[in-house]
Amino acid sequence: MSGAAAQAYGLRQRRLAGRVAGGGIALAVLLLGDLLVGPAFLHPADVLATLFGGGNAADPALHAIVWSIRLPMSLMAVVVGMALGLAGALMQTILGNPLASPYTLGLSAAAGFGASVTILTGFSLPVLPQLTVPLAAFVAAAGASLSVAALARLRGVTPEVMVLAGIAILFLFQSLQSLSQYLAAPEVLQQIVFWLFGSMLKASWTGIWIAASLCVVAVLPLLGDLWKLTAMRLGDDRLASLGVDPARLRVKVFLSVSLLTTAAVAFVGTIGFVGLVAPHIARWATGEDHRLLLPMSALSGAGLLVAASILSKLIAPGAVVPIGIVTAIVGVPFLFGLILKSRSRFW
Amino acid sequence: MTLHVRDLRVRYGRRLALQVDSLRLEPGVLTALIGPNAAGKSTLMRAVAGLQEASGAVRLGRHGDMDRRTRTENIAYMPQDTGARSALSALEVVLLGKVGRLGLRLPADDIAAAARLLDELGLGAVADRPLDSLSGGQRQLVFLAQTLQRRPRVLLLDEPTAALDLHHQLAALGRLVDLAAREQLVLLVTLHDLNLAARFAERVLCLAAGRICADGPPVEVLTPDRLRTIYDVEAEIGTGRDGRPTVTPLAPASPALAGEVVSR
Repeated sequence: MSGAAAQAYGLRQRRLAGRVAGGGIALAVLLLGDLLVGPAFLHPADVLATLFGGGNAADPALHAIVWSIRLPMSLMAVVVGMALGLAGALMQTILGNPLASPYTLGLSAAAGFGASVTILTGFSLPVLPQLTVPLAAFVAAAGASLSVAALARLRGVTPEVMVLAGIAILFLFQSLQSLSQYLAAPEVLQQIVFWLFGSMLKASWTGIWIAASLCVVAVLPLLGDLWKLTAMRLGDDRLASLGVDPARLRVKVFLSVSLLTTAAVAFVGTIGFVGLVAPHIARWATGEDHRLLLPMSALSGAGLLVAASILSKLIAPGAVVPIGIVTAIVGVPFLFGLILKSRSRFW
Repeated sequence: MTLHVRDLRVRYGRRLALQVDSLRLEPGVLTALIGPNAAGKSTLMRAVAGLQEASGAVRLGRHGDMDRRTRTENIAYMPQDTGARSALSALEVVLLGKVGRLGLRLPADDIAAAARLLDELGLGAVADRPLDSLSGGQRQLVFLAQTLQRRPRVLLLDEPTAALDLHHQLAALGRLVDLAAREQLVLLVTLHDLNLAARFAERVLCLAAGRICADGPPVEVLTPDRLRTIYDVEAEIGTGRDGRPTVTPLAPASPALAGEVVSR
């Protein structure tokens, strides 16, 4: 009897791991689709030839469009989607709340404020000026997350304290952001608003490398904590009785989440909803074992964002609608489907 | 190995919530911890397990004083059911007993051990069911299996039978007594049901207002006088077929309270 239970568990784990692999394949297909569409109306065969070599790969205009515009935009969508999916799953776990997202604790508002102020003042770094706005967004968001972590450390690292501190930070930075917009001249305001709409048009190879490295740095320290995160769903009391310090784990994970989120927001602006819905899709597919849940959340986040990117290019032919505007259009049907279809409780 | 506790003090603010000068718990037998609500039973267990800020020393066998971390590792405390909702399967919950020692790949031994524990507690059929689809009693047994999965030397169980029906109360406590004898575990169990304490415990510790007020075999600790002072009830003590005392509570002892109940 107990042999059967162990065997059933093994089989189920393999089936769930298969779903993660399936998610990877789906992402690859979406990514290819994203590369094939765009305002330049290139022939798919030409795009493929340019990507994989052969054919008239030598055409410089074609080469430039594929390698300097489409590929960076698509890959940025993958990196940002993964970061937001992961950050959302981690946030929902440490706050024990299905409504939590990477932005719940004010990180995006802080990043937006950092960007707004830099655009408003026209300040620019002496070296690598194109990184000025991302860096400002990053610094502001890091400041916000450190204040939340410090406040929680003082008052007890419970979800309630963190949510309250985070909401306070959120409102503070939203006000500051509005203030900087109010003070801005009309053409500067337009720049600010454009930055706030998340858009892949801001993508660049430099941005991709930096964002991807930050994500790796954020995720590596958590590799040894996957089981602890799974156990966190049983409640702090039980986690503590199993020999894990919940407060310490929560702060550590929150700092990782902050790094993931700021890496995503700093380069492309605020992209909502992906971080909220991707973890739910993943939880539906793989359950709560974080060894599978986290990779699946990253894949769902990337898949959703790439799908949104395809849609953003199809809505208005010849133009690219900022992706932040369409993510919810792609994500909401998924969320409704989950709420209605899911056989067991999905939270 | 015997567990020694010395000068254990817990303060909540200025209030001294627990004061245990000396306590030895021998391995191999079940010791019941009884006492009225808010007597400090959970506090005592949490302090011994290193989950609660406390002064004093805890030693296991001939080893020296253990710091809080070593205590958390060697002493398994099972909290009361906190009602956590989770879609993890019963088997996964049991596997989490070893949470600090699990790697990315699970050893087949761990999975087999977890499945065996569930089987022994009569939960083999629900091993792959999500935790939140189980009944309160089943959940409690799953968490008991989780605690046993740690293979601890010292086991502190807080109300492990509260949600169990009669059959499972007897079965679970019977298994715990066997386990303690077989593996020479130190086993301390909080019990509200004094009949269960009388039936299964070799020794009963009675805690009131944060201090141990009685300590001995059930027949010495469970007397009408003591139940009146500690629990404020009139009770009849009989003798069961196994020669152990039985407790039949009759009425609240203090007249004011008794009158209030009657007038309602």
